[in-house]
Amino acid sequence: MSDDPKSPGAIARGWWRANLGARESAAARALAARLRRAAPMAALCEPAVMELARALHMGPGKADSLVRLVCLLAEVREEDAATLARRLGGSDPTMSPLRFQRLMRAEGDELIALLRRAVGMADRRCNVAALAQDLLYWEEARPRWCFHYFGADAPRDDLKESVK
Amino acid sequence: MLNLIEAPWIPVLCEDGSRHVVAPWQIAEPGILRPDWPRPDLNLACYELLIGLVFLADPPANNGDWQRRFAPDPDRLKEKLARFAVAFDLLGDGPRFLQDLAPLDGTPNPVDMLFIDSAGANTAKNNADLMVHRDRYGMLDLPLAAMALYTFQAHAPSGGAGNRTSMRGGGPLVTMVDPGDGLWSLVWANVPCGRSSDPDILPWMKPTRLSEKGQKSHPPEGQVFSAEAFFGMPRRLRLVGSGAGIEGVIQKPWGAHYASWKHPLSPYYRLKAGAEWLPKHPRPGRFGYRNWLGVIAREAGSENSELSLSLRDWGQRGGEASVIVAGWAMDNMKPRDFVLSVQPFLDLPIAAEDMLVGLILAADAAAVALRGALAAVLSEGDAREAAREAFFAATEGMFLDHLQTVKAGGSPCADWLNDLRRQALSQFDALAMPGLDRRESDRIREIVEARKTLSGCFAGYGKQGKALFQHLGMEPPVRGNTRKSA
Repeated sequence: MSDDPKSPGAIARGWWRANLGARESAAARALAARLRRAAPMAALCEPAVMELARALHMGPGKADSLVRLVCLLAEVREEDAATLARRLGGSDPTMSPLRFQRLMRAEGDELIALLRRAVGMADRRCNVAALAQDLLYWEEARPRWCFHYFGADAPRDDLKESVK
Repeated sequence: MLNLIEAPWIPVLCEDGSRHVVAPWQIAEPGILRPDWPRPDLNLACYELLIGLVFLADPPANNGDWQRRFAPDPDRLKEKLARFAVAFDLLGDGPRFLQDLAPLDGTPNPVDMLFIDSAGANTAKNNADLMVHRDRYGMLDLPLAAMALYTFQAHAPSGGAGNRTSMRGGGPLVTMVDPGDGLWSLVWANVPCGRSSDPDILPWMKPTRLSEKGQKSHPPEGQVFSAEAFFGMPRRLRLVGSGAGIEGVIQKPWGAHYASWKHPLSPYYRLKAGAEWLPKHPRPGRFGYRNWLGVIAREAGSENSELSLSLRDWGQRGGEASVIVAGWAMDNMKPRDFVLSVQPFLDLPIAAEDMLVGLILAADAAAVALRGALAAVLSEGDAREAAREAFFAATEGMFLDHLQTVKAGGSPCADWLNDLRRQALSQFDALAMPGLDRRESDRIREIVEARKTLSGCFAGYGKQGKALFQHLGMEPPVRGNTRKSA
């Protein structure tokens, strides 16, 4: 996981803190509620969402991805150091291995529904930056989730350079 | 008729690129690079034959004598070899080179039988000769027949009922020192110390020592070999032909059954102290650093493996050299591979050699750990073995770099640990990561666990991890320490 403050994950976390995470702010609670129920188009009409799109340089072509990102970030209430996959799995998993397998294979609307449920199972707490980064790059993220879910560290990219 | 002492019959390649045919004594003439037979196994055996001839006729008395006579002396060699001519007729009515003293009756086999990779009669009948070959040689000219005959007797595999293997079994591993200065320097570098012999020591000068009742031929009392090591006769053969060429070979079973010999050009091992010494045989495939132990590197305190005498002597004779490692890798009588490779001669102080051996054993432990981890991704057997081979091949270059460090007196242990870890994990990931998230969750768990164990091994955990750290002279972690992983 990159800790680069300029990484998309870090930018999205900043945005989440400012617009959704502050539970004492009525505006944040209201935006989160709207986003959780919003149809894709309605989510894109939120000024805050457009602000995030600009910060992440996401144009109209990335609308689906952006909607998925903000709808799921709206599900999270609290930050945690552990990634969502770690909070779901481990030695006494909150999410069953079979459900996890389904999550790994899901696509489109089913994926969003399962991820929503997953955030709920994790008491709406997880590492926001990691979740945002993973949602933006879901293909690469899935193998890492496998490791985290089963309580191990994922392989780091520095190995790849040494493959002979 | 061809006499192998007097006549020129050995094709050689010279430094100026020209090709000549020489008599054995002429190998001491300058400018000759190497034998130039049409097959690598004949070239290998030709070295052994020439080394054997010098040992027979004019060996160094000791390593001091070896130094003094370092310069080639063709006239002296010619004179010393002359009295052996009587034993080196290929054909004729007298004793014949490497053949039974009395004529054998029977149907001649095709001359192909002299080559280790020819198809036997049965294989040809069943049309099963895919990797071996039938009907390649209709007739051999006399020099080629002589060389093939020598090669066959020296490396013979078992050949069915009563047809004995060579003194070193079928397809021995041959290791010779090569100072890199042409043919004479190689031959002289590998001649054992000793005293010259008489022609009658050669087994074909008297009636064959049979072995149908299990009689064994031992080396002379108190020795592990004599000149006969270079001229063993496990097979009873008579060549059929004339001056024009050899057309067939008659074979009878129950030739000499050699026991407890140690050939000076091969490494030996034994299963435990006090057990019988066995000659090493090559494995098919690349000969890389993983195969060094007991062949070019001495294991610390190992009472159960011994480098070839030629390599041990070179330690006393000294100088820059490489080692030629060669031989047929056999599966009983089936040839699998001909191995021919050049390896460095390790001229290391004891402590440095121990460190180097530690690096090899560490890689072994890492490879075992990798193979174990791959159980989660690859099926049993060949696939996992292939991954292990790939692991050694991929780390070979780094290992040779570290060898330089060891030679210079440094310690590459920490770097080597990193190299091994990197290679093992990246090899694992290349097989396990693609599509990981699409597997059954039980299988995902297995793979994740396997990777955890594998990376733990490189932190010194687990059986292989402990071994790995010990071989690298590092302290394995104490239980309860926090664990770092990749």
